[in-house]
Amino acid sequence: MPKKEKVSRRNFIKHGSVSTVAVAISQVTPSPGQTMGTLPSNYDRALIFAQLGDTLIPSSPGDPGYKTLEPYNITAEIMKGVASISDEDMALFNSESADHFGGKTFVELSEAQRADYLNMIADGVNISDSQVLGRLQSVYNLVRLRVFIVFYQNYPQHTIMRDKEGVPILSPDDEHQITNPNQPGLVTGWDIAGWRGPMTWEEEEERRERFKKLNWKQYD
Amino acid sequence: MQNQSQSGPYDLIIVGAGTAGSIIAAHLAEDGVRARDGEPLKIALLEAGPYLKGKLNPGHGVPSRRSRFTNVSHNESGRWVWPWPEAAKMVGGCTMHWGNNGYLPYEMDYIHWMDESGVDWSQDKFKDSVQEIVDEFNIGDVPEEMWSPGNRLFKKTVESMGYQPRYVPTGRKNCIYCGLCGRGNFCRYDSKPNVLGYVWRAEQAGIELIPEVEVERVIIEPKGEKGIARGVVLKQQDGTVRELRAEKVLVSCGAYGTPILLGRSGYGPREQLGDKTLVHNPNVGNNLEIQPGTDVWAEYDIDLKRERGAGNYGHYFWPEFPSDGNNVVGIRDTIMSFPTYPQVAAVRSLAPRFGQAHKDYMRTAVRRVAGIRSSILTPLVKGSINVITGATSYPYTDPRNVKRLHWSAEIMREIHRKMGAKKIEQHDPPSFGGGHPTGTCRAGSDPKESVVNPHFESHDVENLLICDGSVVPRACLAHKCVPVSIISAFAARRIMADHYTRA
Repeated sequence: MPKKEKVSRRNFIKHGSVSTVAVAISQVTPSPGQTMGTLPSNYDRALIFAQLGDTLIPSSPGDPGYKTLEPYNITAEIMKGVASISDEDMALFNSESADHFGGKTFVELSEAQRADYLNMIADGVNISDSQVLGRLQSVYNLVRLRVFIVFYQNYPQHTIMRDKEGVPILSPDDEHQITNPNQPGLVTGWDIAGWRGPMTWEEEEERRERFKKLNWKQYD
Repeated sequence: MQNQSQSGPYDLIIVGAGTAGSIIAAHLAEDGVRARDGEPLKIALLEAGPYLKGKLNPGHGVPSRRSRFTNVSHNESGRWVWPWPEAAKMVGGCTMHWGNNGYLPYEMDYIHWMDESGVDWSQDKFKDSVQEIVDEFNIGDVPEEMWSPGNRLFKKTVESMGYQPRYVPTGRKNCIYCGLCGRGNFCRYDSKPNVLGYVWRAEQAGIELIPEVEVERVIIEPKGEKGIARGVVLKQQDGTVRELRAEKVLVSCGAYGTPILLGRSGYGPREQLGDKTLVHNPNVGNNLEIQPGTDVWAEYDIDLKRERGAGNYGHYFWPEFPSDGNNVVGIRDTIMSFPTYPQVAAVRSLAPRFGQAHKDYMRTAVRRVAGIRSSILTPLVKGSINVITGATSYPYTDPRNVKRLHWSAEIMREIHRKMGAKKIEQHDPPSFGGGHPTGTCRAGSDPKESVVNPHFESHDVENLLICDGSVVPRACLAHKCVPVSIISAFAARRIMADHYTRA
């Protein structure tokens, strides 16, 4: 009987996906986000996403960013759209930084180190295993896209409350049926981008007065 | 089937209260009569989506529609869209989208239609229909004072390059230039043209409008080697299934919806329908034309856009491609005068990767980042839609498409350079996308190559009429929405003369 080779947990994650591909083809494909192998005991999928979000859109005093929206569950919202990223790949993303940053996983890195790590992945440097690099780049690209789209689509004010018929729920005093979900007091992606969103009633009225002089007629 | 009852019979059932169905319904309800006795027509207009009623008031909007639309994204339209792109599921259909483009068919469009499939649709025959739609949609130019700095710079630049840009005509009624009409199917102010005026006219003239019923199939019975339409089977929201009988059925469910409905009715390619085939015609779902396009974006130091503005495109021109036949590539200023949507600016390749640099870029990007788009207006390749699965197949990356889009991308980069762009996207090959589907039940003189004749009558199924984007024989230089509206107004006149005028 051949002697069993000792495989570290990180090595298993690095190569697990390759072996599971063959298994998946012949047997079963794991559901999105599910794992087919053993994951490190300290693996925390949500924490990795949260740290990634914070790195992509940093926050600082007076300059809110991704982390400012954590009380509004932005990480949970992000994770809804990236279920196709397997736990193995997320775990690999977290652990691979150890080779380059003194044994620290991604979630243990400082803010500057996290940025360096992402740049290393995006540039494709210092990671010689092309399969590993491909998996890391896939995680980076998918999460980056998802975070930017969710954040800059005005989360958490990206949608309006609707009843079961799909009809927007308006405040009782809303005579003009304004469904702009934007509320003052919370800085969202729209605020950072200077995007004004739908008009208020006052702005509508002001513009109607202005454009009546331009091209306006009664339609019967 | 939970329950089955019968209504009618109707003289005509129109399936789909979108652009084509509503226009034709209004005409026939107002002026059509039964040929045999001159009596008013009994018409049912069926629609899968709801009817949000109210007095039309462009510039303010109908209250029942205002409350539902934010103009932010078509996703905000809730459940009122079909799974396929740009198709509203609602009485009145979608408005003209993507900036209210109001291109009227060019002389070459009529020539293309006639050359492609032998229809007799010459420009002179469409004169009244064109005028009707121009008036109805209030098509014209955006006032010059609403142009953005980017619109002006584009025009000046391409003129200096020897091209002759023309302003993209738009349809708008009492527009307050909120600038949010570049995205989404609906306008909360009803300033983006729609066919609700036709719906109202049809109702006044006595049609029976039945919203929130989904037609499962057209009832087709065998008649010799062909078929004959007898009515429709529909499902109500509560799951009740009903049968409506009619002397004729007009299907107006759009370039994707119509072939799917016909397929469900047993009318289409035998290779797809198998033993469910009632009437075979390989052209149902075939000859799909999409206008492949690409865009090149750039970042500028100056603000090209304003905080609010007109959601229309600016100018367009047709550079001369080293020739092969009737192929036309159009390039247009998609800078628009309103800001770029933040989520779009955030993920363009121009943006820094992430972090503080990306965030700082985002603070002004929505006014400084803009694109120019090219489209192959007369595509050289065709695709198809499977009438069972609804899956579309289109060869975007056909070498002929790729060649033209590469060529146009170089012109667009040159325009950006001359406009003073700070950074220009270099993606190569360019990304592909496209819209304006047409041709899936195209009109033509030869039953072997088309589905309906030039009079919108099915070659194969008696008493079945079709009119919508699916009948257009050749993709339009003039995009799609307005040409389809004009073809519908033309169809209404033909159908009236052929079937609903006192004998």
